[in-house]
Amino acid sequence: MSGKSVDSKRKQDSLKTDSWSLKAKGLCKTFGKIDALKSVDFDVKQGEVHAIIGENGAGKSTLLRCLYGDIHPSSGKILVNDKEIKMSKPIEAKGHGIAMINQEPLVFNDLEILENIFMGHLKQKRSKIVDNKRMRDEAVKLLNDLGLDIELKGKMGNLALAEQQMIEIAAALSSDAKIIFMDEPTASLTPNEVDNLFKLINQLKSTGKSIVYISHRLDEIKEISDRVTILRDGNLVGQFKIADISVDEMIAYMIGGTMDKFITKKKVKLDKKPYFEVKDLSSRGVFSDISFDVRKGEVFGIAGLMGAGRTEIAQAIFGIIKKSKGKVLLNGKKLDIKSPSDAIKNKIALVPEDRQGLGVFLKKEIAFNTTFAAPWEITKKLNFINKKKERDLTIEYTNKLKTKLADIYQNVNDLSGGNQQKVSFVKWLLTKPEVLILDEPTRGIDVGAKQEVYRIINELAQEGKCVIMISSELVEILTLCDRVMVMYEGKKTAILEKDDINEVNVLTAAHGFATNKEGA
Amino acid sequence: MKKIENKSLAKAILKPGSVLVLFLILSVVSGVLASPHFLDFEYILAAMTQYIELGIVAIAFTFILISGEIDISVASAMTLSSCFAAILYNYGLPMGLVIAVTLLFGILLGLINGALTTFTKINSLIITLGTMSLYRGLAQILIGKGSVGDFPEWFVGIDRTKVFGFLPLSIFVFIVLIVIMEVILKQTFFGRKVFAMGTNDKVALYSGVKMHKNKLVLFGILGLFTGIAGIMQISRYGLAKYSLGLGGELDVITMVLLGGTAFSGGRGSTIGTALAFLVVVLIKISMTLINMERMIQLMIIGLLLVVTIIISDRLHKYQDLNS
Amino acid sequence: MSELVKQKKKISITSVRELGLVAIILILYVVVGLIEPRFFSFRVVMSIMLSTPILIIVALGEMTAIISRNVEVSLGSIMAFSAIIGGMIFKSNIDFPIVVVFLVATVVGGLLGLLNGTIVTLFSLPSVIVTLGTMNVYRGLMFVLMDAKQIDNMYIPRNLIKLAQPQESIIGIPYIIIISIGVAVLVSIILNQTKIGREIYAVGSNPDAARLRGIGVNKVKIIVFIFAGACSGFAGMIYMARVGYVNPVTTGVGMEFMAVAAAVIGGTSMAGGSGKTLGTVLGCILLGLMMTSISYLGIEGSAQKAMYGLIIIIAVVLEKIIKSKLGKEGR
Repeated sequence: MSGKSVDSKRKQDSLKTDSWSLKAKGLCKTFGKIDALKSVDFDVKQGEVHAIIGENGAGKSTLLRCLYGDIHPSSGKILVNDKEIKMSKPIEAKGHGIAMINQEPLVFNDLEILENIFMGHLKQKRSKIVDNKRMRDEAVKLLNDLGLDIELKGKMGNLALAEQQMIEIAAALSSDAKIIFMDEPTASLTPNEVDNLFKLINQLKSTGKSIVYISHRLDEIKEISDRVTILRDGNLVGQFKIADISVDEMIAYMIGGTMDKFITKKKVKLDKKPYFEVKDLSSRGVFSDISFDVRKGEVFGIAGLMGAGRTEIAQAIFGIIKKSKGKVLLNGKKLDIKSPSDAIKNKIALVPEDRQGLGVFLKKEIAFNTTFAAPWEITKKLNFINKKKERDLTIEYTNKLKTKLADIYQNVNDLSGGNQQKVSFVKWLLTKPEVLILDEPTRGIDVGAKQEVYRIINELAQEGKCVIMISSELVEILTLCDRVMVMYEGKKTAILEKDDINEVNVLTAAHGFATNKEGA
Repeated sequence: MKKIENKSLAKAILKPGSVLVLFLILSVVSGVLASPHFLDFEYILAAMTQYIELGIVAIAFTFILISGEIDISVASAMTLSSCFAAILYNYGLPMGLVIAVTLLFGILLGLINGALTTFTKINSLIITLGTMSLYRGLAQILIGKGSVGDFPEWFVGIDRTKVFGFLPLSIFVFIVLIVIMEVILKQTFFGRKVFAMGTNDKVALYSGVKMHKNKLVLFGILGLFTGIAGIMQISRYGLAKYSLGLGGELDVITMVLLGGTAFSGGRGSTIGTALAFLVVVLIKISMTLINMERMIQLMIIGLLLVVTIIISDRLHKYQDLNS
Repeated sequence: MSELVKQKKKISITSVRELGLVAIILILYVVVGLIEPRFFSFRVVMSIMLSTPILIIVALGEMTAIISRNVEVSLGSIMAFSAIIGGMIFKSNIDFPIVVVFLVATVVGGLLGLLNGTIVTLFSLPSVIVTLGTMNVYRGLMFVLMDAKQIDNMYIPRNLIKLAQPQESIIGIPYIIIISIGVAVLVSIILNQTKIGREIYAVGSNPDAARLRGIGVNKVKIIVFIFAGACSGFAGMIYMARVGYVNPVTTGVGMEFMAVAAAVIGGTSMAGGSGKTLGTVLGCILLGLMMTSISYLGIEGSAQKAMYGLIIIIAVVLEKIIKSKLGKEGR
């Protein structure tokens, strides 16, 4: 065992002698017409946790990708230990001691866990044969040091997401990473798993590693970080020691103003009778016994942590995934929905969360996209397309939503995130739905576009539609919704209304504690 | 100003369609150089009839590829249909009925591919890799090593029957089908669905497209076309052999890709495929006229495929960046 | 979905599969033998064993390609090309050292594989279409470059043919069988115990993750193509030993489908990232057994093509079903 102690002593020594730093100066990045980063400065010290926060589309991921070597900055400098470096591939970042953990762990499901740790820097014996024993020993030591209790045997695909994340961190450390970037690491974790992760992060800090942490969860940021950098619309708008700034102030910096100017709710007089009802909806292994109802003109929010099953409820209602139990009723009539096509016929619309992957055809024209979900509006006899009607309708709705575009025949790809989201909306408005399910409607769009979306939501409510809004942005939940259903791990933990809709109640329920407000 | 002008000029030229035009010119030039017979219009028409079945299959293949699927069993299915027809006729069924049943059979072959792909969710490439072998083998089992023929007089010689005095019937059918399919593709909502499925199948699903149903329909259409092609095949040859059209999938894929349809789906046109058909035929005619060995002819077509796919891939990527 | 933990009870499906294959092989052999008693003879067993080495070597190359998420359909043409070159060397000098010719054939195969790999990686093209094209290009190239004609038996050295004769070896096992087992062992070692082998699996399992881990994905792919080509080239010489002649038009035609079928039966997933040498070898033996059974039972050889196709489909569909059943158990 003497080898072991020599190694750890060597490590302690190197910590004391090396000081290590990563700096970025004047980083800019332009994608086509969009300036994602505008002259951002950033630095990380050894042994610190530095958080980056900002609204969706503020440039956090872009900054990270530049620092990781995944993309080239359009201009600006990156310095490791005060020496400028240029990276053209991620492997070079590895060489500089930079590692990245993604939101969705990038793992090799078919390979063993041990291999996942060392893939990319496999250890070999002199004969070029892979040295499994040496790697296993090192891995065991690593996991012990980190306080992780994970079996090394077996395939990576068998591990839960949280464990895969831990292994990814172990992998980063095994390649001698000095700094680990974490992009929304707690997005899919349970509170227990978040605690474990934070313990691990503190452990890493104590051994001199640095962490750059991106997250939306400001309460977590407060808990774990040392410093926080705030981005807005590609600009650096503030950098503070965490003790010097409150959550409210962080929000203010992120949105460039105060909440009440940012988002308002237009009051709508609501019926007593529910118009859209969901009863005992279950999907095996995903969520169970979900019941709620929505009245005409109501904005009904669904809150909860990521992975709570909210999107899946929408998918089940809309016919994308199968339900194992339960009913969906519209105006008292039971609906039989087996596919999105059925849902549309029944006047239900779903604006998906992943706009680019699920919402619009990026490579197709705006007019094509706008009319695609409502073919009956533009088809003549024999399924032929009425090009004039398509044009007129597209222009009419584009103006209604004030979408900024040059030409209705340009590709959706050319539009900004916010305008793309509007096209996604318009597509569904054309189907003249009575129930609209919006899944994270303001994800990845800038502040200005967000306000536009809130305006649209208010209008939809005023027109008497049932609006179901799934959102992870507390502000939206608290301000826009008439009632809120909170989910936790596939179950409903609360339905809140009026004054009960506040931060404490929502967060409590989201973390699994049923309140006495109509909980599970 | 000059830089911008150059860029739009480049954009206009560097379309997949331009490659096609280029190849068209090249193939005509090479043909003329090959032999004086080349410019004989009737000769060209007669030569075209030899490949027209593959051209017909290529039309439906275009649809499938645009929708994001692929079917490399087409040539085998075509020959299986033709062998099936021959066997049916020799069992005593009247030819008219044989034709009808064969068309249904072709649809069935297509639906098998479609069903396997949609319900097992296995990549259509792998499924049709299997059915390519399976269908060819079944044809072999049906017909054996020899040939089966002896069809009624009115049925045989579709390539010799002339419409409007000069146009072989088989080519006429081809042209009619091209026009119909292109109209469906570009002017109907069904055509839009085909493009949508190939552009992003998830978005298509979320937008209310019945994916299973539409894919089955497309494979069924492809099957129908292989049935039509199979019938035309035995009409032209006057007999059925299991080895007819062997390697035809190579020609079909080459035609469709050369015609501007993207391998990854979401883009294409049947007119492009038709023009590419012309190019391939012209090249084959030239090679025949200079008595090029069959193996080397195969090599040239193979080379054409590789070059086509390299160029078209680059062009599509360029188009994507500069829409 | 963190709490709804994937606790898949994964009975290592891979070892079950190999045992299953052995069982199927034995059962099939017995069943056919009961129908046709002639089947139960050393001669028949030897015939089956002799028909597999060529396929085994090509299939191992194909398997490696599939593991890395590529499909190679030009291996038959590469095999023929290399065999023709080897044959032409012997034609000019029948006493040319056999080992050197083996080397030449292997290198030629590797070069053709390199060409495939370069086109695929340089232009990021789907390997199946590229190799569909090169399949014909290489076949035609034989005629263009070498005016290839059949290499008749009389030009092939006796010593080479001896490799395939049962009488000519010590324990009664022909050399080509020993060679193919040797190749299989070598492949297994490379794939399981070397860095490049593990990286091949990684690239097939998740090419994006591999890239971000710093693995040279293109480099790995090119190596895979070279390897598959080299295997085919080597197999070309084995073909010459076993069959006794080479014909530029017919040799190797359809080889790649048998190779894919064997690999898939043996448990290689078309999605990449998994595949075992032993499985592929067993798959080859099973296919060889089926081929021999067909001729002994008097079924037309024409059924072969249908059979391969059916096998690929059934194997792939079964795999899907098994995978989803195992997956469901955890939920």
